[in-house]
Amino acid sequence: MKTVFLVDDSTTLLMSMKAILEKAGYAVETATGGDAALKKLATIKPNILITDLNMPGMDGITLIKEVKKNPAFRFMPALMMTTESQQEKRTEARAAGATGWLVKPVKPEDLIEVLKKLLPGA
Amino acid sequence: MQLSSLATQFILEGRDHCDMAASGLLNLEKHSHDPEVINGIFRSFHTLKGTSGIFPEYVAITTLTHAAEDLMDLIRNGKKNIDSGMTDLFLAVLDQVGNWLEQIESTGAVPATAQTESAGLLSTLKAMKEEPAPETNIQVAVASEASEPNPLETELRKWLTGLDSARKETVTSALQGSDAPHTALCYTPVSDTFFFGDDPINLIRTIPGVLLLDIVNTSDATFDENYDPFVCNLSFLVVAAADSETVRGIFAYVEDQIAVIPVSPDLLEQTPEPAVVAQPTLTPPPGAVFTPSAPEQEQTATPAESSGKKTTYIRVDQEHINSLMDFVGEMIIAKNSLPYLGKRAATIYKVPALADEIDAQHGTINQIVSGLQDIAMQMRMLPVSRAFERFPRLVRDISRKLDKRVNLVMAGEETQADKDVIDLLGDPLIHMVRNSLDHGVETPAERLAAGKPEEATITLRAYQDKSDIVVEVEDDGRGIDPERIRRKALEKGVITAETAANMSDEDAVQLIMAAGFSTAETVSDLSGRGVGMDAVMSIVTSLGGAVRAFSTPGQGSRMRLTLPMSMAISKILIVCQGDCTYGIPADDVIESMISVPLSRVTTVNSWPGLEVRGDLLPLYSLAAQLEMDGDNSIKAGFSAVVVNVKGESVAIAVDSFQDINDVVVKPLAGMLQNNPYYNGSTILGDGSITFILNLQEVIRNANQPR
Amino acid sequence: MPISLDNSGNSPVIRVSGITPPDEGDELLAMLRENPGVPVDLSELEHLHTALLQMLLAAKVHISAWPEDSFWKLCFGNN
Repeated sequence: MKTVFLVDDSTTLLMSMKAILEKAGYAVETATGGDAALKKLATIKPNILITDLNMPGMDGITLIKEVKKNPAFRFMPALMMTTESQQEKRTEARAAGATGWLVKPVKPEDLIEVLKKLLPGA
Repeated sequence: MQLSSLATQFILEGRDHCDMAASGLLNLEKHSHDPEVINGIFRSFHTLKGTSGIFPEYVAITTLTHAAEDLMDLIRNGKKNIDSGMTDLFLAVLDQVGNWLEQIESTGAVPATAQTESAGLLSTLKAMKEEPAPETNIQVAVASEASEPNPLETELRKWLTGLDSARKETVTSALQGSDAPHTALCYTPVSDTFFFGDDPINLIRTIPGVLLLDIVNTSDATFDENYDPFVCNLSFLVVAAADSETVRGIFAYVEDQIAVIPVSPDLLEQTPEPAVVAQPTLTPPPGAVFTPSAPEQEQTATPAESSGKKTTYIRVDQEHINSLMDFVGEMIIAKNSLPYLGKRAATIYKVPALADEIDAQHGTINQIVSGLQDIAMQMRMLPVSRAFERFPRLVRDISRKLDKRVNLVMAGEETQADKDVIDLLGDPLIHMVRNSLDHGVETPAERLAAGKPEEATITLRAYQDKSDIVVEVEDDGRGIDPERIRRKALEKGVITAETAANMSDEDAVQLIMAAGFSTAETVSDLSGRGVGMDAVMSIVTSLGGAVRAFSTPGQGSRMRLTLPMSMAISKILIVCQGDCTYGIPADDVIESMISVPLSRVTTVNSWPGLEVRGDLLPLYSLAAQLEMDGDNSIKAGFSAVVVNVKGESVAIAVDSFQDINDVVVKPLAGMLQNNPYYNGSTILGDGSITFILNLQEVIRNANQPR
Repeated sequence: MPISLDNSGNSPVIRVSGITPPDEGDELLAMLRENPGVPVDLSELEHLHTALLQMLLAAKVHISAWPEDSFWKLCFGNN
């Protein structure tokens, strides 16, 4: 089973995405901030990271940069959740090592489709 | 209304964001353009929009917060400046959202009229957004995207025209065989593409209906000892029976690395140029650069440990914490029974050794329980900032209405108290602050005339005093005129002329908290809520707290509210009187004395006093104060407890006293509820019920011992 | 293991099977270097990461068995 690691400061969002993903057959791990996510990464090995861009404390871009510093996660796909009005941030995210982005609010079908695209055999 | 846990979570979080954004906005008004604050507000609107979007039925919230977010974004990017008009507008949006959240909580839905309710706000937000301001970045970016000759597209066209006849035949027959669109793609991933989590072949694999696929090496890298498996040197060339949009969609994240063109028969038949990227033989095209990029070096860094210690929080259903408290309480009672058990082991069963063991065990359990109790109490502790949060907004709004200028200063917001206490603090505080705004603070003109700065200062201050939390509301207004208070109190019949004459100024000031007293000369819509300071007083005293007013006429006033930090578990001293036991809050006890000789009791003005280290303290007989039947005189060898009541030391005569116990104080119920002498009750280790004394009330009326 | 050397048959063969993550790149590289000329069996393959695909193409190995999904044949130019 593929593990998706969700990071967002909104528990509401985490709960809803977790439900969608688990229904689609993914294992889901969550964290509510960048620092917590980095700590948790020491104990789990997700197949993909999905993080919010705007979070108090460490933002999503910094989180991805930090995660990518760990050789164990150098090839792990990472998605950034942004709004449609934050297009310029996508370039920045990509430069930081993000594979792509999801537009909030994330539509369940988009989410599943993107995961299929990024996680072979899923 | 039973809401899904997701909706409940949304409401909780939504409220937090409304509060955070509102305090951010007020903060912004003070410290103009702190980008961090602006970011925080933006984030709150952003999250409100995002999370409400999960619930299609809350679309009104999404629409409104989206519009607010858009405007905030312009402010964030420095394209607009926030003024007080905008602040008002944002605050109104937050109010509206807060209202809706409340409605969702009570009725399960956003009102049907929500869209019309917010139409005004929405159009104002849009109007503000569109004012003069330059176009946003996004549109600029989209506009500039057009018609650059894409080198990848040139490659792709070359490849198509250079296909061998067999492969061209494959494509043409496919095109003839169906009306479905066909698309050609050239995808040349960046050399470090793997480090972005890309797996290019998986994207290619996702394309439906692949007819032709060539994978070409774009560098001169060969499989030698320098071969680096993680540098991507490939270019993918594809013809597929799919429309261009589908193909573009698949490659949306790498759109800068692709070229896509719709395939038509004539595209293949253009004059064949010498094919450059023609065969699947892994020959590099001229000019292809091989860059053995450097990501390897970066990988040596260790995984980042989170820097510094950060507290993390989890939300817990309050019910769980309450039951935990209950269990801890039961455990304390159970634990307190061990000494009795020990005593019985020694005296009734005559096994002193067992008694010793029980005592030792009691010590251990005691430690564990007190640790558990501390944590359980800590879990209920909240910073007083929770109760202060609403005041910046409240003071701002009210002072604007009153045309007064007020600067609110808050201090000691980190002081902690039990959640129930924090929740109960709110209403009394509002009364106190309103009172200051209404009656204390003068108009700017009056202030200038009095030689004061135009802007008044109201200070909200919290601190801990032993086991109490003290909250003060201080203003630098006109103060309270004791003469006027006396007069008003007399007019209203709150006091008699005789009392008024004998009353000290300090005591007169306290009259503002007396029932039926209101000094407002004009009834504003603020204080006109039907309740006044007497309401504050009754809430606070019912919680075992006290309110005291201080005033310096012309310079300002200060209201001090004292409440126990926690109402859950307290240490009490058990005193015995006749057949009964009573509890006295241990924090109030200064000292206790046994076998006091009557020689230390002196009568002054026909009232007994007890001499304690040179001081003569008023001595009350507990039996007399509680109006117990029978002989309640103070007898030789009595015990005395010196306690602090509202800052004064008094001595109380009792028959004897026991140890200090940790008890769970339960509120009084039923008939006893209205007994002013008791604050609550508790069950002792031996199972007996003991009442906790409200000393302030007990000694209010001095009863002469008989 | 997605990558293994199978010596059980008449001649050795390198098996690449299942879903191969990119991290296997180093292992496949070592395997190919230690066993030059040994054919590769992809019959159990579900997905070959691009990094590994590129390596097999660059090493010009002989593929002795193909996976069920004909897509992979296409990748090696056998269409």
